[in-house]
Amino acid sequence: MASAEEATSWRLVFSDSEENSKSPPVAQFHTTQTSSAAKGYPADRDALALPAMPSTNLWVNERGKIILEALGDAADTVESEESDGQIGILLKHKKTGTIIHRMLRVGDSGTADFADFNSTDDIVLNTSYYVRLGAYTVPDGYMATLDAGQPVYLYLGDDTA
Amino acid sequence: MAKRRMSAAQRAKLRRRLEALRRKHRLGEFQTKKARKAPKTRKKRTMAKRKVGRRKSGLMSGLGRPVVAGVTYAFVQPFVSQFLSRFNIGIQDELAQILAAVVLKQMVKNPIVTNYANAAIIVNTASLASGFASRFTQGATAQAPQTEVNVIG
Repeated sequence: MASAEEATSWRLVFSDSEENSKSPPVAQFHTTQTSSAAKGYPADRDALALPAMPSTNLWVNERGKIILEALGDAADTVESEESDGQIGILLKHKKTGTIIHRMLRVGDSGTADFADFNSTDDIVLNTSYYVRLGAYTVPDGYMATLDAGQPVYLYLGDDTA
Repeated sequence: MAKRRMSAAQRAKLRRRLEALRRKHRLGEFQTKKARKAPKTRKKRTMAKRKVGRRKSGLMSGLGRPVVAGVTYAFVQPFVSQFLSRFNIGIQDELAQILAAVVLKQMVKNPIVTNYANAAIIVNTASLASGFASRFTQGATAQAPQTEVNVIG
């Protein structure tokens, strides 16, 4: 089965553990930037053309969430098993200050870090407002922020017969 | 013993010799005009002169200067951080900010820039040091989260 890319705007938002208090978007991209399949570059140069993660002075505390949201260019459905992505974040251990660079995997492959979008989950997008795809929960004892400067990759797709 | 009398020829010879010596050493009638003495220069001060500094007033006096530096840093830091994020050097953000502040301070001689650079060096050095210091205080909660003003959750 082939995968068709869905053109979407997507963003990252920080929130508390209950998703009651949300930050403004800390990073915002479109899949034409972050999805190498949509680019006109040769395949061996795709990775060089990915945008860099911006910096932010916002941190999300332990057990808080990094939420992935998407706004479709058309009313499409995206499927986690047809999607893939790598989003770099920084984890800081609160007691020791140790910094850890972590690459969150979007979709079903690899560490499948975004809950609710990591196990053949289908999400219906619309063109009016951002829809929640999934969320990564910051582990106990850590704070998280964006890993500024790291290349950002996200491909959202669905199944086509 | 009787005093030996000098002949006239001897006296003349002696006189000529004396005259030659006086001419040579510029004595007597051959003395030249005395050189004018150089005017007396001012006495050299040996003790350091007391510096009278210009007293600054308003925002740049006393506590005003660190406050201005802090406010400048707060406004400028996000832009600098955004700019530095383009360079994936592989060192900590705080270290990159310190290096950038030192370079900026050397290159641009401007009071606003100096204020920002001083504040950036102090704040980021403290942030780095807190990470090291916390390793020596076993069991104590690190102050790092409290220094982060914008924390969600």
